[in-house]
Amino acid sequence: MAQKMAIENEHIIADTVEATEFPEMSQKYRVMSVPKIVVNEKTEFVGALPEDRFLKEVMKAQGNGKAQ
Amino acid sequence: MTLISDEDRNFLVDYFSKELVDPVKLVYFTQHQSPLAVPSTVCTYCKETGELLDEVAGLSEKITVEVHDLLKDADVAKEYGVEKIPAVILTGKNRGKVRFLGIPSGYEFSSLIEGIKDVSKGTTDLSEATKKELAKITAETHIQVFVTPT
Repeated sequence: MAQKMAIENEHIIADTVEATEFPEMSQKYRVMSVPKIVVNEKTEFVGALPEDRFLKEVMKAQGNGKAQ
Repeated sequence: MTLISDEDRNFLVDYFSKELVDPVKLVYFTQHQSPLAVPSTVCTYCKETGELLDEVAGLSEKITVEVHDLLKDADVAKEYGVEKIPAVILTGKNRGKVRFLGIPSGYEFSSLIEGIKDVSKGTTDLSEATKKELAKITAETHIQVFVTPT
């Protein structure tokens, strides 16, 4: 999902991170279960969301991270 | 020993021949394999990731791998924003950046394959409504998806 969004918009960077290989990153973002998605270091959610809800989270992270 | 099974290889050769449009380059950041392996500096999955990517590239003429050493090619790493390895950046007709940190095996392997297809086409199957909404994004948006190999 994230990578599809990155393909569509030049401002998006989609990183798929293998949590067990990067324990310091997993600790930084408190990754307890996967998938865990972190947007702009502030909005986060766990579990695969359907397209419209994933999009909502990404749009929420634009600006101050509060829901519109 | 190959990493991709014969069954998968046959499927992928066919899939890529039907789906790929433009060439895709897999820019791969790894570390030089030195005979002196100091444990704390060894990248556990770098060698295997390199082998996997080579096998994937072997499945289509349109897929190539460009290998860089994180330390020796520090300027290139900076250009791609890479600080950790193994790192694979898909380049083609994508507008934003698509990167994999860590070996893309298990479930992530299919993400890699689909990513290669989408990057090759420059389009995705996201809905028109989503694409319209995404077009409103004008500031750098970093989406990190943490996964584990299944």
